[in-house]
Amino acid sequence: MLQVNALSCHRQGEWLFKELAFSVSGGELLEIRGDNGAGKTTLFKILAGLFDDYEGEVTWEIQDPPLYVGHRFGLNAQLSPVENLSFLVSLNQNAPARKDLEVALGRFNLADVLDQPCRSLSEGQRKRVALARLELTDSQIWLLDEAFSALDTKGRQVLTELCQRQVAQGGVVIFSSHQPVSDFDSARVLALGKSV
Amino acid sequence: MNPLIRECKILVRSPADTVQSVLFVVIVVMLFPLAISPDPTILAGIAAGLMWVVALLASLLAAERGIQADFADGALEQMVLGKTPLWLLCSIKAFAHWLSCGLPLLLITPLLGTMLALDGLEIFWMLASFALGLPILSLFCTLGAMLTVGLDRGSALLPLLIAPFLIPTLILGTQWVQSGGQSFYGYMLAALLSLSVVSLPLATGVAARIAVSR
Amino acid sequence: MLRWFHEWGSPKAFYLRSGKMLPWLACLTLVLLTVGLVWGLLFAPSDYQQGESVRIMYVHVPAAILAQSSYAMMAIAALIALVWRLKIADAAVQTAAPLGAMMTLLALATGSLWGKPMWGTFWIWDARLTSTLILFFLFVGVLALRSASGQGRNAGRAASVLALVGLINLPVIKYSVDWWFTLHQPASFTLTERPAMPVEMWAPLLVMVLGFYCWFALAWILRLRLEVLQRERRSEWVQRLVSP
Repeated sequence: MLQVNALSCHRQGEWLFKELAFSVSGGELLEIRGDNGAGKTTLFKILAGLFDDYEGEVTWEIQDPPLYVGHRFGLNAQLSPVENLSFLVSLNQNAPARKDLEVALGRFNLADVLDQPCRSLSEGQRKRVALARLELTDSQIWLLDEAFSALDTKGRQVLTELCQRQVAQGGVVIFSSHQPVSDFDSARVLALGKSV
Repeated sequence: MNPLIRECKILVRSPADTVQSVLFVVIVVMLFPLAISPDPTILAGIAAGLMWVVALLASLLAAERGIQADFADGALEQMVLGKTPLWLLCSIKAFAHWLSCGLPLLLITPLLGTMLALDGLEIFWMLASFALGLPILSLFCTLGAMLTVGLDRGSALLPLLIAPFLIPTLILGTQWVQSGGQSFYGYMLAALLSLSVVSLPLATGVAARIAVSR
Repeated sequence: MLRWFHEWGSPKAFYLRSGKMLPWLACLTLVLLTVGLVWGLLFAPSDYQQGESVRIMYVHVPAAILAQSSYAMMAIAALIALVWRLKIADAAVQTAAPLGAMMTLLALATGSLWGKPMWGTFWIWDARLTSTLILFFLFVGVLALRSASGQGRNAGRAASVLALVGLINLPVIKYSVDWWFTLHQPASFTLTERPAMPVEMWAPLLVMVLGFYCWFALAWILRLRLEVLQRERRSEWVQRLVSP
């Protein structure tokens, strides 16, 4: 589904990565590992199609745009989790029913804050609101930048389950982490940066 | 949720922004009689131009509001990535700017006109010129905000970039009122509005893509 | 067409080829400007109405014409930068903006100097002067946005969008300023649109206009070469060029 050839990218004259090549097919789980500043976020932005200052080729064979959850979650401070989630999902597909939203948020243990404005939520709660999108999306490709950090054990568990289900259904999950994520036994690892 | 409803909800939940625009306009208009003269003939002579200049400043002041928040919280990235056409989302952003700045201005126009000693007919033409002209200001301000969002001195830059583009609207709007409603100016303003509605959201969409790739 | 673009569009090819053109262009500019200035300032007849002050025209008119067309050139470069993503086109936008702003300033300054003997004041809200002033702010806008955007390869694209929107809006702005002016000052005297200028006057003017264009091309290329060197300073060919 994804083919990356000779991908190079530099910022301020420093190479972030050079001649990167990999491919991902349906049902695969890819972990991108690297230190701070190794270019993980830039790579995710390139894969999502947000950033195009690179050399090389990135080819997707998919109909729907990939779903990207980055450092910024896209949650408006004035709106509630239900409203934000509904808006984000409806950018790509039909607006979800209130019930589905409640189920998705409830799974991430957010049933108490469904209708509170997002500005009153904690960072961890907001992260879980953003991740609740995974439950509702039709997208085959998930790009999860630093998805597992700042999550409690329960949250990690739910996310792991969701990812495993996605992969089992033939989708693709690409995620990044500072430290190895032990929750998956089948993940391929792509290491970025000089240290590896 | 429909993006239009989203914008409305955000507006309703932060009424301070809208109130700020209205108060800014009223205060600035109040300064002119104090600075120039309370004489009704002098005031009525400059009222149209004055109100247009103040409207222009208020629009520029409100330009960044919605866009800055969307950029900071990452919603802009998601809009660029989504399947919904970007020009449509940008039109809605411009509409939201009009809702929070243009519409309240239109509503207080009779009040401002009275403060500046305009008579009923002149206030009517003022309303007409605002009705056609303020959306043009909103479209340009949204473009400007999208071009400068995320830059270091973006908010200081915005008026400098966008003000020259607002000059035709300013000229046509004031001339329309001052000529006592000559239809030529009304048609030209309407033509300018339709041209802007069609073309500017496309440019704003390009600017949005550029903004998220910074 | 596209291949030609890419051949010239590569910074290295541009640098090497433009280097060969430079001496010729410099000579041409020098000759045209010298001839034009001497002819216009010393030999061309003075105006029966305005006297010697009409000679300001030989600087003002070329500057005003060049100011407008340099905006068009900048916007075309912006279009190329946006559509074909040529690096050189982005550098061209960046280097054209200050030159254009400079030309516009020159047109404004000479215009107001000319205004003193003609109108008795340095500034008058004449349609032509006003739209030149607006043009100046359009240039400044592109310049400011470009310099605030930093260095990356994508950094110039916002300024390019602005330049293009400006090009489309330029006629609208110009016409609306003209309407505004005729309304406030019907049937007035404009600076340059005069009935039948004698050939002794327009011939040196033409030479000056051509000279200004050549100067602009020369200055643009020089600045572009500098910009190219700076941007490509890490590349091999620049390294070889600098340290033989």
